[in-house]
Parts: sequence; structure tokens; C-alpha cells
Amino acid sequence: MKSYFCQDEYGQIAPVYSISAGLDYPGIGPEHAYLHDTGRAEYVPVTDEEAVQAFEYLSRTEGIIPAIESAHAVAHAMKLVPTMGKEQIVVINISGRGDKDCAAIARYRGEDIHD
Amino acid sequence: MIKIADAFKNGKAFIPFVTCGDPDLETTARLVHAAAENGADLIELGIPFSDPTAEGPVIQAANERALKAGTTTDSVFDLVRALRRDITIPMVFMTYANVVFSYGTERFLENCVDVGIQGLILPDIPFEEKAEFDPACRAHGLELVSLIAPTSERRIGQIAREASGFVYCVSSLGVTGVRSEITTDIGAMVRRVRQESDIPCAVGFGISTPEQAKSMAAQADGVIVGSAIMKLVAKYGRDAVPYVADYVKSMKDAIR
Repeated sequence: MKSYFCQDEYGQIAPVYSISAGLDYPGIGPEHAYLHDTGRAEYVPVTDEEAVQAFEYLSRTEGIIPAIESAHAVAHAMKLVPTMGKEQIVVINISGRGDKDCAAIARYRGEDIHD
Repeated sequence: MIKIADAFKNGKAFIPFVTCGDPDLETTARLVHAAAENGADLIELGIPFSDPTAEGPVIQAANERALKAGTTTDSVFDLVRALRRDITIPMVFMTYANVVFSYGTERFLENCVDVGIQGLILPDIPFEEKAEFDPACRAHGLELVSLIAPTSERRIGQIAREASGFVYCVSSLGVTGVRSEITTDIGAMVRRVRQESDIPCAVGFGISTPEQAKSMAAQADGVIVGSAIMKLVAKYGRDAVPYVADYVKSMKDAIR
């Protein structure tokens, strides 16, 4: 089974990094590769900074702490929603809770705090 | 025409492995010449890969150094083309599926034939996935070497029936690297292969001393050594050639 990976022209896998441990991997699952190939899903990049801002925004405004992985989806929704009509509906899948990420977010914001 | 089978015509085969480009390709060329002159019957050339999942720490580090030194698949093809001017023993590539696939399997195999490679070992391609590469290798007259491990058990027969070149018997569970003791019943693995095929069997993973080589060779047709050689390369760098030459000679003498 094949999937997509961050790699150079010789197939050497790139050393990658993400603030999210769950996304700190150079490839994607084969299901996503298939959805991409068939055009059923569209994939977009989100930076660490955008994800952290979305994490904080949703926590402050709704009291929902999204997992830092899910915060990437929130970040993209925050870009997308202003371009949409009021009658349109957006669903964000908050696939995990962010309590586990509070220490990492604090460190990202310069606090000397550890798990 | 050079064939993998040639390696098994000179008594028990000694098969050294070197990671290409560690510390540089010029040293690799000298290592291959030294190995061939001191009794190597077949050379396994490792094309470095970022994620060498079958390798222990010694060859992992060799892969990292080789990539850092700028080694690429194309520069390894150039190396082999130059080696083939005077190396007459068979040479095979040991690398990983993505190196071949991302290069373009057809183009990769064409280049193998063009530079004088006889076969391929892809340790991350299990028997069940080999259709991705095996028919294409056969179409180019290249032999894709199959591996069997101590856990292969009932699959050994199936693998042996379709094997080409030689069967790579993995001596122990886990990754490549020097082991003080090999407890697998290699003789039983080889006998199981023999029930299906008269293809040569070479044992690798964990072998470093002449005593181990002698004991393994008594139960199989050849012995493969990688980590012990790359340890010498890690220690002596560009000056490793005479040490590797002596080592290869001692190993071939032990299994003669």
C-alpha cells in the first residue's frame, strides 16, 4: 500500500517537525491519500502559529479546548468562514481534547512549564 | 555474463556489504576493490536511505553519514559503472523500496542493467508485496533476492519456490548488527528451503567473527557481513581500506 510522504527527488524522507506530536510525521495515512487522489477531500497547510492562535481562540470564546491537532482544522475554518455566506453551515471535527496540550502551548508562548 | 550464481561456485561464498558513500564514494570504490581482491564472492552495495528500517545502529549511522556527504542514487550508479571496469564478481544493491519506486522502478532497473548490477535486495518488501518489483526485475534479467527470517516458518516453502539469485537467511530476530551469539537453527531453515529448491542460501544479520562465519557456512552456502565492516569504516574512515581487506581475507579463509 502506498501513501504520500515529504521527500526529496531521490525518495529520501524529509526530517519534519510540528508543534503537534500527532502530526509530527512526514507522511499521511493511506485513507487520506485515497481521498486526495479521488478528489473527495482537499488538503491545506496550517502553521504552528495559526494552530496555536486557533487553540486559544476556541478556548477563550467557547470554553472548548481543542486538541492541537484539531486546532489546525479550527485555524483553517477561521480563514474560510469569513469568505462564506451566513446561510452556509460549517462543521469542524474536534477529534480530541486539548487539555493534554496546555503545557506545550504554554511552552510555545514562552512559559517555563513542563508536563 | 556475470550472474549471482557465480558467487557460489568458489566453495562457500563470502558476501561483504558496504554502504555507498560512507565516508565518501571514492573510499567505497577502494573498499570494493579491496574486498574483491581478498576473497569476496559477491558484493552487496547499500544505496543509502533516510529510513533504513532493517538496519541496526551501525548501518543506520553509515546511511546518515553517506547522505550527509551528498550521496545520491545517481552518484551510486556512477560508482558502479566505474567499478565494473575491473570488478568481475557479481554485485547487488541492497536498498529500500522507496529509493527504487521514487526514482521510477523502470528507469532504476534499466540503470542497474546498464551499469552492471545483477540483483536487488529490498528488505522492506515482504513476499506478499513483491509483485511491485519482482516481475519488472525478471523482465530486465535482474534477480530480486528473497529474505527468510526465523519467524517465516510456513512461508519458507512458498518463498523458496519463487526465489531467485539466492535466499537471504536472516539469522536472528531484529535488525542488522553484531551479535555475540546466534541461537536460530540455521541448518533447519536451509533444509526447509532445500525441500523446495536448490537455490543457494546465504546467512546474514549478526555475523562478525571468523568462528561465527565458519559455523554458519557449515550450515549454508554463504555468509553475509555488513555491520562488522561498516564498524571499521566508522572507526577508520578513509583509512579503513587495509583493515577491511584483512578482515575480508580472514572471513573468507575461515569458511573456505
